[in-house]
Amino acid sequence: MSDLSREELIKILAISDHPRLSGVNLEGLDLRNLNFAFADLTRANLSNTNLSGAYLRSSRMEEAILENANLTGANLKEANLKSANLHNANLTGANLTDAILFGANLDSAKIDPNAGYQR
Amino acid sequence: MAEFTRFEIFQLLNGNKPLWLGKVDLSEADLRGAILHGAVLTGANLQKAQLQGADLVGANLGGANLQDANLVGADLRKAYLRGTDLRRADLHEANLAEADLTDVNLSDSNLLDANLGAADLTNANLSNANLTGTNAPDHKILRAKSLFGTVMPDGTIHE
Repeated sequence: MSDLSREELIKILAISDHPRLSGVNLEGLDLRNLNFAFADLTRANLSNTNLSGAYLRSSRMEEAILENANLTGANLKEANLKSANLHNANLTGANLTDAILFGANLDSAKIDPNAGYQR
Repeated sequence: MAEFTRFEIFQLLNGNKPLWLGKVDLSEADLRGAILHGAVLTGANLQKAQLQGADLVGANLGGANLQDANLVGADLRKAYLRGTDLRRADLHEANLAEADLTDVNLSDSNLLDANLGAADLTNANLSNANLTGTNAPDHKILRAKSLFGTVMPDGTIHE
């Protein structure tokens, strides 16, 4: 059971330039195309979420759980995914330019070799 | 945690001015990493709250109930903790530099490796508290009103 519904989450994202969502449980939610730029998602549970097309630029996702997450076409430019769990996540077409993936678990994750993670 | 839903808590944490939450019931709330900088939590019920790594710099927690709260690594610099009930609280590696801990009840609390630099411990109850590895000078600790079974910074038990 997630902490917030998609509608509630949209209300939070709307009121803050740097949304404070550390530790939030959003498991299984439809998060397509939402704007998480500069959000604090440290240790958030985002497993089984649909984040395709989401704008996650410069977000903090240290130790976040992104197992089975659909991140196709998501913008993760400068995102901090240090020690995040991306097991079986789909990163096809995601923008990982300057993203921090130190210590992240990318086991079984799908990464498009043509994706824009070069500078 | 009777008063707020998770949505309402995230709404509060995303407001654009310091929180004013005197006397509210946030017992057992998950506030890990929360930005509570300068928040007013006077007399609040934060029993068993999860405040690991929370930013409580300059927060007013006077008279608040923080029994069994988890404050591991929390930043409590310059926080006002007069008369706060911190019995059995876990303050491992918390930063309490310049905090006002006058009349605080820290009995059975864990302050292992906490920063107590320039913290005021006058009349504090430190019975059975673990102060191992803290930087509190003895003359400050001896201002406490109770030191029964207190584990001193060097690991010895106060007699």
